[in-house]
Amino acid sequence: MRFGPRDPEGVEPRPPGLRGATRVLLERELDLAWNGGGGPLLACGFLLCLTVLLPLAAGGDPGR
Amino acid sequence: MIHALSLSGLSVARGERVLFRNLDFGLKAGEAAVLTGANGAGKTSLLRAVAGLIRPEAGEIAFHDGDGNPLDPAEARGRETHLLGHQDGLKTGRTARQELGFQCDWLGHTQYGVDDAVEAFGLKPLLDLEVRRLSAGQRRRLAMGRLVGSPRALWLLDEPMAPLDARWRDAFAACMRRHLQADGLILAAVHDPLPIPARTLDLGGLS
Repeated sequence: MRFGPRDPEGVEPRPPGLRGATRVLLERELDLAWNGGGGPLLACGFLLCLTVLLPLAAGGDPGR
Repeated sequence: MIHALSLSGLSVARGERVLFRNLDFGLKAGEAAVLTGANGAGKTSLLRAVAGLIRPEAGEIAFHDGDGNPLDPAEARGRETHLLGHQDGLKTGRTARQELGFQCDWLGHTQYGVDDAVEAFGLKPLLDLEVRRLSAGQRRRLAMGRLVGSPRALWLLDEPMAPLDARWRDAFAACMRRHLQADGLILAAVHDPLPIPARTLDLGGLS
C-alpha cells in the first residue's frame, strides 16, 4: 500500500487534467440524473412543451 | 512536492467577527499538528483557509518544496492537498464503489489507488451498497479512502475520528503514521487527542 507523497515504487499519481476531470464529473452527474427518476426527461419534456406552445400563446401578428 | 507549510501573520474573519489574528505556525514533512480550541474558535476556518476555500483577512499561507523554494499555492493546493471536512463529499444515490472510483479518478491516482483504499479502510463489504444505506462511520471510512487512493502530501482533517469506532480509529491512526513516515504532513482540527505524536496549536476560545 502506498502512503504520503513518496511512492516507494515510483508510481506517481496521475492527475486527471481538465479534460479528464470534466469527463469524470460529467459521467457522475449523468449517472445521477438518469438513475434519479426521470430528471433529464422531465427537463427535456418541459423545454419541448415550451418551444411548441410559446408561438401559439404569442398568437398571430395583429398587423397582418 | 510540499515539504513545508508556513502561516505567517495570519488573520481570519467570518463576517464581522475576527476568529484569530497574527497567527504564526509552521509544519514540516513528517510532522503532524492538531488544532484545538472551543467551538467557533476558527479551527475549521483555518483548515479552509489553508485549502484556499476562504481568503484570510491578513497574512500569508506559503508552501515550500524540499529545497525551501516556494511553491505555487494553487498548484500545491490542487495537486498536493486533501481536505477532509465535516461533509463527506459523497452522493447518496450512488454505490460506494462508484463514489470511490469517482474520487480517485477526480483527484488522480495510481493504478493501485482504489484497491489500496479498499484494503486500508475495509471497504470491500460496502462496495455494492448505496451510500445512503451506510452508517456515519462507514461513510467516513469511504471518504477517507481518497486519502490513500490518491496519495497527496498534505492532509487537512476536520474531526476525522469523530464517527469512527475503536477498530477503525486504530486503523486510521496506523494510516496517519505511515503517511508521516513517507514525508507527509497532517494538520487536524480535533476535540479528542489524536493517537499519533503531534504538536498542538491552540486557537483558544471565542475572540
